[in-house]
Amino acid sequence: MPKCLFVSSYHQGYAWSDGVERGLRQTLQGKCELRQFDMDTKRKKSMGEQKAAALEAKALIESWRPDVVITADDNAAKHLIQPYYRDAALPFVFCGINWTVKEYGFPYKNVTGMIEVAPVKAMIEEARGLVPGARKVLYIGADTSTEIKNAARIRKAAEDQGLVYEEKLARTLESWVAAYRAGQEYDFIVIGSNAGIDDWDTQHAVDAITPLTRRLTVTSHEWMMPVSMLGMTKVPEEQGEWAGSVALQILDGVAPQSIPVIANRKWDLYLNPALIDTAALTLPPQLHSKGKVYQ
Amino acid sequence: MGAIRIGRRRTVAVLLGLLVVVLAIGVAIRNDLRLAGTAFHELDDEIETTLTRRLDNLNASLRSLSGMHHAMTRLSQQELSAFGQEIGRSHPYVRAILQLRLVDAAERSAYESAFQEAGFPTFAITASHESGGLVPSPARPGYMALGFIEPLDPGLARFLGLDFYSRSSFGDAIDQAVRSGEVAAAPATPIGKDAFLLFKAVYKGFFVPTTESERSAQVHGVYGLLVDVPAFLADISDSPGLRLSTWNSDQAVTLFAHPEATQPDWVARLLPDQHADVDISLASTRFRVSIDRTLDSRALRPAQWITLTTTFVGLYLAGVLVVFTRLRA
Repeated sequence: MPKCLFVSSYHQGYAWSDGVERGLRQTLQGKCELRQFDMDTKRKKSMGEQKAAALEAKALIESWRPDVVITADDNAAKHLIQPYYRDAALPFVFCGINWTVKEYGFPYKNVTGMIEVAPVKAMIEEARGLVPGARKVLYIGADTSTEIKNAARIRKAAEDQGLVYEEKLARTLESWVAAYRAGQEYDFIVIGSNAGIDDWDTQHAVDAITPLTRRLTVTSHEWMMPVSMLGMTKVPEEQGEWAGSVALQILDGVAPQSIPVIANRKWDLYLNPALIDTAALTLPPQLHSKGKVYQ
Repeated sequence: MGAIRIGRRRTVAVLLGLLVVVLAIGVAIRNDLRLAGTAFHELDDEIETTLTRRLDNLNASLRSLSGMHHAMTRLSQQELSAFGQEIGRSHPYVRAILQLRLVDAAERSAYESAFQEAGFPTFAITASHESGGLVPSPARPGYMALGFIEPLDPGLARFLGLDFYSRSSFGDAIDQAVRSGEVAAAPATPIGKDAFLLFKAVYKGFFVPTTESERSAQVHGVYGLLVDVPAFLADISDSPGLRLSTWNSDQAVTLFAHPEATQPDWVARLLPDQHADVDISLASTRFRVSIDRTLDSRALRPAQWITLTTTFVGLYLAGVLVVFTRLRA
């Protein structure tokens, strides 16, 4: 059986990574021998630690000699593919790279995959529709390179729609709650990912924000739904399924460069009725009936 | 003198006996061929019913897509993807749903940039060589560009951006679909092997224009179904040779030609071939199913021959016995 190595930028237990892994394993099950290496770079924050994790992955590639390597998220592309495997013989399939691969120079002749995009334009349009006359929007996320990249996209989408945009990136739950409190002075808040806030505790976050909540909150991350009212959320399994399908094509002899780099297309619609009620917001009936209730 | 007469009568009786045997076998073969003809006729009916129903289903799916397109001011890829998945589930012979948009020459750069910005960094409008290879499209007044495929798989993804007007077989079918407002079909090469394409045009505004000139002027794009031929022909008994053709102009276009599943044996050279043409119409669109089956030894039933020959010979011998007995008396 051919050998497939999965290099995840993050760690097991992180909701996004777990979803990607689920999709990948489902696609590759019984078709290749799958081994996983987690770089854990949400928790290993320094550049030195991240580069060391990439070198570990490289050592594993050299010793185990996989037929194809699948990577998830930006740090594997940045610290593993770009410096060591540009136009190499070993094929790589990436997924979960945020918004663009320009900074890594992809596609190489041995690299293809799926970019991760969020429906930010649709999300901001929906929020504007729910808050007539909205002028100011705040983005709150973790202080990580991923969130900085996400924030730049939200900024562009917001400014394209004539909104005044500001952002607050947090390193601790306390500073995240402070940002949320400040957000009540804006017309609506876009909730980014918490990944990278080391002391994050969802129940504590919910308890802290419930008495503060007056403004609409929207997110594109399903795992942030406990602290958001409306979610237009990406589906991580789609990334893993695509990466797995591409890996199988490559194992069948298709050249990586003949498979174009594409973006994800799926997202789902979620509502958090408890938080909506707390803010005493009234959603239009069609949104109420369409959105999945976040449990 | 008497002995000579008896000898002659015996010779005549034997010759007549052989004639009876030959006649009996002839009747038996004729019966077998007649039964094979009846079975072939029943097969024609079954194929006509099955393929008409399946083409009707595909037409209904395209009409649903067209209806959704016309009803909505803005149809997102997410919404189309969700709708497409349901069509795929209910029609196992639909390999993929395609959405093509008419892009003016002046719009080309913005159209390509929008895709690149949305996470398709290598997206470009391409043209198809007759060899099947893809090259950047030369400048044209307009492009019928493929912008959406559901389900998107790695094998089909490389066709995103393909200008369907760059291939004459696609262009003829699309023009026919645009002019008529009905479905039109084309062979699927190079998009898919063992497949054919059905197209239905969609137009600007909420309603399909009613005149041909208006339809040509207001076309917005085309929806296509990539139909998997083995799944389309699934459950058809006896697996005869099948060819499906259509007309996008005066000339017939073969959508697929599926050979007979089993190889005939040497007896086939002695027996006539079976052939039937069945015409199917979807509104103004004509399809023709050509059905071919080669008869061979499997159509013949020697046990029936023996029964029939034995019966004939038995009757003949009884007759001969009666005649000889009377003559002796």
